[in-house]
Amino acid sequence: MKQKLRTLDNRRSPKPIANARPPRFQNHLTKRLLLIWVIAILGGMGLAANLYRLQILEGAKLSKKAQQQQTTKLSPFVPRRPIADRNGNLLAIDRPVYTLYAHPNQFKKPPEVVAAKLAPILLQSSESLLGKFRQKKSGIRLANGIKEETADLITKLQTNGLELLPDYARFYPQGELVADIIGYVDGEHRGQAGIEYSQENVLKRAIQSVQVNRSGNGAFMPDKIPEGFLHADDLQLQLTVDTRLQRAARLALKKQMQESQASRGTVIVMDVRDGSLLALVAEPTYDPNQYSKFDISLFKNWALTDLYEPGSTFKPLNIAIALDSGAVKSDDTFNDSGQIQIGDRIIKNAEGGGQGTITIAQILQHSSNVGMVKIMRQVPPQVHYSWLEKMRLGSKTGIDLPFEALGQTKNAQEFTHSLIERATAAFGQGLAITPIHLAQLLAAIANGGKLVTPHVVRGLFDSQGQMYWQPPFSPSPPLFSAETTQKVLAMMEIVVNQGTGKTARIPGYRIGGKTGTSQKASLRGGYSQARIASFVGILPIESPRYLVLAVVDEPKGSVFGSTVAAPVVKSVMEALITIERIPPSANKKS
Amino acid sequence: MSAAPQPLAPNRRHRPRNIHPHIANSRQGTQFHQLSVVSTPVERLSSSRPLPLWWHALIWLQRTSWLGCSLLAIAAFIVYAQTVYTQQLWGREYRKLAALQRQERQLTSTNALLKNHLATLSNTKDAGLVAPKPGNAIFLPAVPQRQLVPPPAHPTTAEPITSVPLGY
Repeated sequence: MKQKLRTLDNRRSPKPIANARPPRFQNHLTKRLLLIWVIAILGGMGLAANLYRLQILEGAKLSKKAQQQQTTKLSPFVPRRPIADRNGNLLAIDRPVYTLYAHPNQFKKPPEVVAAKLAPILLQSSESLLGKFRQKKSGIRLANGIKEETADLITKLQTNGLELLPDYARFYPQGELVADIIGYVDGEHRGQAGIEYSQENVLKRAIQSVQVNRSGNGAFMPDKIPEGFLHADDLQLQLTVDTRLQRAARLALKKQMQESQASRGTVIVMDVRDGSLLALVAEPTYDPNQYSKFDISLFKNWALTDLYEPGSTFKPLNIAIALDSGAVKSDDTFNDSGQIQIGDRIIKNAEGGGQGTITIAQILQHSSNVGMVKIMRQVPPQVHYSWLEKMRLGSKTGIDLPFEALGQTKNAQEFTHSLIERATAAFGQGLAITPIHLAQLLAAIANGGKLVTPHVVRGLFDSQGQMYWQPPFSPSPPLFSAETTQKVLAMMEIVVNQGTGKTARIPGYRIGGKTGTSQKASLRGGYSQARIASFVGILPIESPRYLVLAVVDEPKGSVFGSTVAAPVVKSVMEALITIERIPPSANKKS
Repeated sequence: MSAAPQPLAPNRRHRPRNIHPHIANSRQGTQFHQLSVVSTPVERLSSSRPLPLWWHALIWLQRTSWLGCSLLAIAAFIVYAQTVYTQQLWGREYRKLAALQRQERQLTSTNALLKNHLATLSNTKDAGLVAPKPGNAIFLPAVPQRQLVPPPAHPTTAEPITSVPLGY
């Protein structure tokens, strides 16, 4: 028991261990500890040095490398909005194209092998490719505008040192058919003419691309993709144009221009109720898919950029002015003597002889210049000029196509004090407007007197046909009274049935019209021998809905509106009747 | 007593784990009692002292916690796998979407191109086609509106006279 107690006692007060160890052992242990400490410190310092190297010295370079390996740029195909006609037929669409670059310093195979593989795909000889490879070590552009299918073939080659850079290209499936309206985009994908230029803000879409992480096997890690990234809208810009009618109008105009050897021509088909254009053709034209191969002067649409003296097609407007201002009545008669002297000038009828005492309707029917001068003499000069101002002859129509020209008239002083100016204005000479402006003014006669704004853009529609945006239309101010327009329309119907516009008659339909053959102003002042033939048709007269205007510039041979322009209008109206399914007039037998 | 009495009770360190200290103490106490009073008969102490409810609850928790732990671990694995899998799935579906969009694009532009090509072909003389003209179009006159025939009034046919038995 004592022993046990001692043991317990010893346990309670143990002697210090250090005292129990021999000094040599203690010394050895200290050295070992020191060694371990030194190794640990050195190791720590080594780690710190490496950390400094990785984070500070090479930090930027390494993080860039890591980012390159781990992330990728995801840029979905966000095209410029497509353009379609009123029936949804595509007129312009974006498609991806690629530019192929070669970096010979990264080739893992001999350049000859790469050239031999690429040659049949790019349709270039391997010698020319080899020649290009020798030009530079890197960044050689081999081809651009490569289609997706060709790009796939190049990717399948799996050759190092070849780089395909994606880009966008605008494609116009209809070629030159609607080039005058659509325009084209340049190499930088910016609109340069037509709708592509004027509606740039509506058509353009921001190309959004995001940086996403990539896992080890190359799969995308979409955790950082913003919401709605893939949900690009499917809106397309719809026009009021009907491709079928546009095709018919272009065909008819081309044919007539070939026959009459005309230098240029235009056809405008307008819905007179709101000014929307169903067709707008200007010849000659260009293919927007290959715009660089055409003359730059073709890129403007001359129907709205060039002025011309409308001639007799302006006569219905002057009659409307005279009637609306109360200067004449519809049953008034005038003596057409065949010619009339104004100051030192003599004004003659185009057809030569006079018609004797004739009504206003007959003046229009025979397109009598003398009769028109006599009618407009009844209108006080200031009133006449104020009407020209009311017609906005000196301003633009406000069409949604670019580069529209301002009309030209004499100033008030010149007009009101010059007898000859007023006399020539009576039959549409001495004032210059664009064909689209003339169409707008004549539409006012057809629609009951409103001055509508011509336009080709209908709005932005989604793939379901739901409208998302409509261009703001300016109000249509009244120009003529409805009563006056009815009277003028009745006179225009006589022109087609019995007068100069017989060539535009379509059996079964009530059509109004007016021919025009005007002299072209020469560059030296005065008038040249060149003529502009035009014809305007309105149908159906009982409920006017469409206006067709054809203008043919510098035709050769028989140069009258009735022989050159009226047949074009007739063809277009025939197409219009079948496309729009206009039934024959009820009280008209063929 | 030459030798110190050796404690019969097992060392605390070697005590079996499953024996509760209370039980052990009681057993120890019994053994000392046997030592001190040898002659007295052994009395069995009642060891069935009821344990508190929380004690049982804790023991139950200890025994069943592995299950919850395992479930949580499995759930964590599933969630992690899902996050990896969905990302892979997204990548796959994105590629599929891009391919479909490309097909749609090619289809629309080819369709438009084909339409234009056909229309151009139809205008050639050899095509044997003529442009539609009002002369060769058939306009069906609108059928005069038929007069509304009022539907016959509610049938007023007299009810069949049935012989109602009046009585027997």
